[in-house]
Amino acid sequence: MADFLSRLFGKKNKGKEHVPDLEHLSNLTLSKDAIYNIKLIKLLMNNSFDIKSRDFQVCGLALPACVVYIENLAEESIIRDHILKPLMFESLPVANTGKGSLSLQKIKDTMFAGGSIKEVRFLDETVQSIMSGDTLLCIQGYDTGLMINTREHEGRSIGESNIEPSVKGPQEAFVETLKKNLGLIRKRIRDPNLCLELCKVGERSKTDIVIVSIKGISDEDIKKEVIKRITSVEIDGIIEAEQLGQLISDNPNSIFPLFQTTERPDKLFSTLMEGRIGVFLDGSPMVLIVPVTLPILMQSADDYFENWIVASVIRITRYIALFISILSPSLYISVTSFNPGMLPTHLALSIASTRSGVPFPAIIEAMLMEVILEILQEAGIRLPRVVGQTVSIVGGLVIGQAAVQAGIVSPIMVIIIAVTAICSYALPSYSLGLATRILRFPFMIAAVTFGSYGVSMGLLFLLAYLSSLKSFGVRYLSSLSPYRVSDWKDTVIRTGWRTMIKRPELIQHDDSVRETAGKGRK
Amino acid sequence: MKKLMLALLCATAFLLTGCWDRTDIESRGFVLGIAIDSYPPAPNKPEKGGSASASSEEKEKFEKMELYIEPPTYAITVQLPVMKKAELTTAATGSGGGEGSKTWDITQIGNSFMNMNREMATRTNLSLYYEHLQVIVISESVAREGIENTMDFFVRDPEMRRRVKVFISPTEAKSILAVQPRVEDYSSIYLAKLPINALKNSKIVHETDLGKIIDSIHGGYDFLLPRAEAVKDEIKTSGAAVFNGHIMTGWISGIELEAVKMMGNRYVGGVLPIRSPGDREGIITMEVTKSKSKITPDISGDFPAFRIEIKVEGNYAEGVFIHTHGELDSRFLKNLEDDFSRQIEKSCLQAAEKLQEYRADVIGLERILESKHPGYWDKISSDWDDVFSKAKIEVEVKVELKLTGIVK
Repeated sequence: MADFLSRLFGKKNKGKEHVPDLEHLSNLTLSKDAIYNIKLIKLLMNNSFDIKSRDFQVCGLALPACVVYIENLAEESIIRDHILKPLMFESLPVANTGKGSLSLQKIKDTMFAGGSIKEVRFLDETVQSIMSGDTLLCIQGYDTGLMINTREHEGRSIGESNIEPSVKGPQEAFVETLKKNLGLIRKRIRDPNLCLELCKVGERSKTDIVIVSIKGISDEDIKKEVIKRITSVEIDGIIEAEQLGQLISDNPNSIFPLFQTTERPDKLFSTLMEGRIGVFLDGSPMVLIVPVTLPILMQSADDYFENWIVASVIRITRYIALFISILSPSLYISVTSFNPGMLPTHLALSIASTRSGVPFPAIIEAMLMEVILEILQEAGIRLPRVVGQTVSIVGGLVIGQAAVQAGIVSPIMVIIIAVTAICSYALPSYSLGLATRILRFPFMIAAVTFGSYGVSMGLLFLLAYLSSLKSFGVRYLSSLSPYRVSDWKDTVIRTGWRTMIKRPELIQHDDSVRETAGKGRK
Repeated sequence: MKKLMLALLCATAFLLTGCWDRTDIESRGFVLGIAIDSYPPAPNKPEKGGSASASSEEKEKFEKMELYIEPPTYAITVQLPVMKKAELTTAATGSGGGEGSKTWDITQIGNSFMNMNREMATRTNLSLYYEHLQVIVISESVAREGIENTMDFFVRDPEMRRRVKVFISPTEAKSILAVQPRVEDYSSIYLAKLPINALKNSKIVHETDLGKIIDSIHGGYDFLLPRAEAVKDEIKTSGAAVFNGHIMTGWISGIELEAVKMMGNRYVGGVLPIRSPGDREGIITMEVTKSKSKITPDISGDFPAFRIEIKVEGNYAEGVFIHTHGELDSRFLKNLEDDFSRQIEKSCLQAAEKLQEYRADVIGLERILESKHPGYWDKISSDWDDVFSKAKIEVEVKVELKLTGIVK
C-alpha cells in the first residue's frame, strides 16, 4: 500500500497527470485513521469540489468521526437528520446502555433508523458507493466504514409515452431513473419469480444494468447468454439502451433491429410473460428486450387492447404498409420503365401523359424525391420547435406542388413518395421504419437495372437475408420460418385471448400455459 | 480484399451493361387499336378518288414502303394516343382539348404485318408498344379472304394479349378508328368496352377475344365476330359476321344472333318484346334472365337431326298500349309464355336456316356430335359443312315468367 501511495503522491508531486485506476484499489483496505481515510478518498476522486466531508465527534465521547459524500448525488437532509444528528446528540444514552463502550457494531445496530447500511472495507467498493450517492461514515479506530444509503432520486417524473403512444393502453412510460423504472415493472408483476439481476457496464461510467426475467417462463440459456454478452462488453461509458443493444447484438452490421426497445411498461410486461428478457439501463428511458423477431416488431400495444378482429385487420394493414414502404418507388420505376403492360390501360396513359413533360427518367425522378424526403425527415427532427412550421410549408408546398408545376417531377411521383413516407411511419418500430427507408435505395437500383425481375430478385435476397438473421439464437422470421403454426395466432393476425392459452413456442418454457381465461373456461 | 475485388468485378457486369429493356413510359407509343384493310382499297369507296390532292399523294408516299416483295396487299392503321403535355400546364393556359384529334392514326401499306409495324418506326418518335392493344378491326373485304394470315402476327408476337377484342367492319376498318367518341377519349377503348353490354342486349357478340378466335381457327371450329359500324362520333355493334373456318361467309342480323346465342347456350341477357295475346295493340316485353339449351343429336337418318330444347326464364318487364286491365292471372300468363315460346322457336328456325345456307355451324352442333357419337363423327367429319347444311334442326322452347313486378 505504501508503494502504491508513494507512487500516487509522488507522481502528483512531479506534476504529471495522474489517473486513479480503480482496479488497483480492489485489494486496498481502509485504515483505522478516519481522517487519513477521508483524505485518501478525496485524493482518489481528484479533490473535486463537490466531494464534501464533515469531521465531528460522536457525542462527547472524544470519538472522532467523519462523513464523506458527493453533494450533488446525496440527499443532504438525510445526512443531517439521520446521520449527524443522532450521532452527535443522541449517542450518549446508547453508549451508556448495555456493557462496554460505543462500538461500530452498536452504532450500526442501534442508531440508524432508515435506509440500508452496509459495512465496507475495501477502497474500490467504497469509492463506487460514494460515486453512486451513498455516504461513508468513518469512525476513528475502525478499519471498517459504514456505507449509508443517501441516494437522491431526482429526475423527470413519470410521464406519458411519447415515442410509442397508444390509444387505449396505459399511458405511463419509463423515465431516466432506474429505481422508478424498476418500480413500474414490480408494481405490475407481483410474482416472486420476477428476477432482477444487477450488472455494471462501462469502464468509467459503471452504469447500472438490470436484467429482468421471470423464472420458469424465460429461457435460462438465453438469460445466461444475455448476461455473458453484457459482462463482456468493453466500453468507457454507455448512455442508451439502444447502444447496449448494438453492443450485444448478434449481427451489429444488420440494418434490421435485432433487439427491441420500448418505453412502455405494459409492453415489457407482456414480453416478460412470453418469456423474453428485459434489460434496464440506468439513465435510459428505453428498455431493451431480447430476443426479438420480425413479426414481434410488427406488433403494437394497441393490438392487444382491441377486439381481435379489429386488431387483426389493423395488423394486416401494417404488413401491407411494410411492403409499400419498401417497394413502392421501385415498383413505380420498374412498371413505368420496363413493364407498363402491367398497368391498367387508363392508368398507363395517365402516367404517360403526366410524365411527358418531365425531363428526367423515372429513376432520377424517384431518387431526387427520395433524397428530398430523407432530408425533410431529418430536418423535421433536428429543427427547433419554434421554426417547425417552416419545414411543413417549404416541404409540403414548395417541394410538393411547385416541383410538379415546374415540371421537374410528375404528380404521380409525389403521390408515391408521400405514400411511402406515410407507410414507413405506420410501422410500430421506429428502427424498423429506418431500415425500410434504407432498403428503398437498393430496391430502386435493382428496379432500374432489371425491372420487375430485379425487384422480385431483390425480394428473394431480402427474404433469404432475413431468415439468416438471428437474435439471441432465435430465428428472425420465427413462427413464419421456421414455421410454428401454433404461434401464428399472434403473428400476422391476432386471435382471441381464449385461443392463446399457450405461451409462444418461440422460447423454451417450463410453464407453457398462460394462467388465463382459457383454463377457467374449461 | 480478393473477395471484394471479385464482388466489384461481378457488379460491373450489371453496372456497365446498363438497363437493356428500359424505355420510359412517356417514350412508348401505346397502340390502342389496329385496323386492317385490304389494299388497294375496295372499289365501293368513291370519296378517296374525288379528293385526291397534292398532300394526300404526299401522304401516300409516306404510307407506302419500299417492299421486299411486291405487291402490297394490306393497309394497316395503328392508333396512338396523343399525350397532352403535363395536365397542370394545360389547365393553367386554359387551352382544353377539343381542337385536333386526341389520337394519331398511322397507316402503313404492305404485305407483312411485322414488316409494316417496323416500317412505322421510320415515322414516329415513339417506340410502338402493343401490350395495351384494345381492339383489332378487320374490314369485310379482308375477312372474306380469310383472317388466318392477318392473325398470325398477333398470335406470335409476345407483346400481344389474348384479351384483345376483334371486330369486323362492313366498311373501311380505318373509319371505325377515326371515330371521336363523346365520353371516352379514344375510339379503341370505347369499342373495346361495348361487348360488356351483351348482358343488357343480346344483339352483341360477347365472345370476341383474340385468344378465343385463335382457338377456334386452329381447332377448326366455326365462329362469330361482332359487326361494327361507325358514324361520326358513335360506333354501333349489332349482328355478327359468320365465319366458316377462317373465312367469312356472311352476316347475320342482331335478331338472328339472339336466336343463335340461345341455341348455342351462350345467351347472357337481353329483352324480347311481343304482341300481347288477345290484344291487337298491346306490346309486352320480357327481360330474359336465364336461357339454357340442351341439344340432342339423332343419327338414325341419312343426315343427323338435332333437337334443341331451350328453357328460358324471364320477367314480365313492361307492358305498353294494353287496353285490357286486371287480367294478369295464371291463364293469361300461360298464354303469354306460349306466345313467347312460339316466337323464339320461329326466330331460331330462321336463324338456323341462314346458318345452314352459310354452311357455318356457329351453334356448336359439331362439338356435341363429336362427344356423343364419336364413331359417327369420324365418318362424317371430313365433310361436316355439307352434312350440317342438310341436317334437320328442331327447336322446342319453354318459357317461364317468374316475376311480374309490383303492379297487377
